[in-house]
Amino acid sequence: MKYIYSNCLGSFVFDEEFRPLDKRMFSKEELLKNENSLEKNEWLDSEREFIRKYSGDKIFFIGFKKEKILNVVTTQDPKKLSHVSELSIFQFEKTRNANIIITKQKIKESTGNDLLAMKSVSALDELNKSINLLAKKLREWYELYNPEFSKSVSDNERFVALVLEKDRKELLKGLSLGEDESMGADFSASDLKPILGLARDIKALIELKKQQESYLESLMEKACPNINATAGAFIGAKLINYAGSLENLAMMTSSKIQLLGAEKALFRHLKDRKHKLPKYGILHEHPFVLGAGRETRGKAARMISSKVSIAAKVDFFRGEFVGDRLKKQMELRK
Amino acid sequence: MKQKYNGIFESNRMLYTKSITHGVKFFEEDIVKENGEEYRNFNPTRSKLAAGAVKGIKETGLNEGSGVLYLGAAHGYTVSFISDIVGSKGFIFAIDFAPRVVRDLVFVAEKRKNIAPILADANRPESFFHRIAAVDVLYQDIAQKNQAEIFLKNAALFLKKGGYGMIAVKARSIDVTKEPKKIFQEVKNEMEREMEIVDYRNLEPFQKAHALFVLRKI
Repeated sequence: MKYIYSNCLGSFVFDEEFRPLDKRMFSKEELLKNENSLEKNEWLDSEREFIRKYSGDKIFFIGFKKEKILNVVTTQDPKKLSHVSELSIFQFEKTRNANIIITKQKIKESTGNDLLAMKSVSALDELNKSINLLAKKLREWYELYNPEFSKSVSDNERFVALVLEKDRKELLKGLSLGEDESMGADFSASDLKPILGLARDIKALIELKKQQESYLESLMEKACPNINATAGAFIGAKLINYAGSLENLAMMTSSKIQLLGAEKALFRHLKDRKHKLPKYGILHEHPFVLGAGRETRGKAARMISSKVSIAAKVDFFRGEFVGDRLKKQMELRK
Repeated sequence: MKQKYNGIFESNRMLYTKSITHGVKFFEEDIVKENGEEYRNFNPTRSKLAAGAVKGIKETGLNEGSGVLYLGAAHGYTVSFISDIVGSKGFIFAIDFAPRVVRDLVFVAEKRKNIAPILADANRPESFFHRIAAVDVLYQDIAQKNQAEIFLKNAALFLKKGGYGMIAVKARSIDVTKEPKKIFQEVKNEMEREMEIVDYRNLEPFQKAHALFVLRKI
């Protein structure tokens, strides 16, 4: 009777007293290839060779295997598993080195397009916040010099562009005001310089934001075309971010997707039913939800999340593009 | 510096372990030098094991030379201190599911010869049994609904007879609406079927609605 066992370092044969009889250590190249099979519980070439070599004896394989091989009994008896794993690990050092190689490879392979989209939308969020914050500071500062113009332009991007393009006289002329009619103080060139410097940097950040937005749009179109069609690049990427991965999102029910982003309100309701159940999370930002009347917002969110849920599954399992069909259904339901 | 429990020291009402990597900091911890040894500050708000020690857990099964299986290793904070406690003759198989945190774990493991970092799902021992060996201690800190089941599954396969197990139970992960006391009682009942309960502590004020169980495989 013989025992056969494999770990990440090699395949081993023992007799019925667990005395080591034979072994086949894996080379560095075989390490990663065999790891794939071992993780999926598939038979290794080395194991098949040993089974052939010792076919005269009764063979017990210690470990987990998906398929059965004729005349080989597989066992996961913890006592036996413990015994052979101890015997074959030798010094911990060898198994640690193998584990580090394997783990590094798995981490490398774990980065996918959905992760890129998640990081991109996350950075975009911060960019937006920073641009708005800095623009606010710029206005407060600039208003000491030219408050009338700042008040006349509410859009930050336009404000920054015009401040850099035209001088105060021109800007006030556009408001039919002379410089002496303004409440703004007269600044020297050296006092004006840092304000314009800040404006220049904000303008650069706005350019960066546009580049990031177009990158995210093309990434989402390529990686998740169906989510892109139903939720849009920005909200779609945010949904994936909340879910943790495209796979997670694809496995969610549409009611869960509907409430992604509303966790605080959701758990508040679950703990005390007196609080209202939220009707939407991030999906609140979707144009269909924003555009719906107060009464129909919940229905809109529910409808969108059901389409997004289908879209996510198609994207994850890489099916054909059904996005336009889904989008049409959404338009009709509107 | 006084030895409080096995491998855990105390000074000025703070906990420390004796570092096996002199001159290296991993998590910005405070280091105290004494008699040629370096002691790393072990923070109970960052580690449930430390919180358990402060609350009075004496017997953990962790000794110099122990083999440990750690499920839910995350960035490796507690792992690094267990690494100090078991010393260079001991070893730790550190497992976590998320690539982002295992990446940090690899950086820690590369500097400590007794840690093997593994990216795997603790819920599926058939997917990583070939990368580990049987151990003396099983430590688990996983926030999942079926955390008790995961623990018992792994204990059955990998924990040696007479070995110790520790599980940090997060009540909110199991059921956010039930009272923690009830949940801990249910977990206790589930564990008692297969293991002997050695100790149990609520981890307040260091962690809300968390408890640390110490068990022994009969």
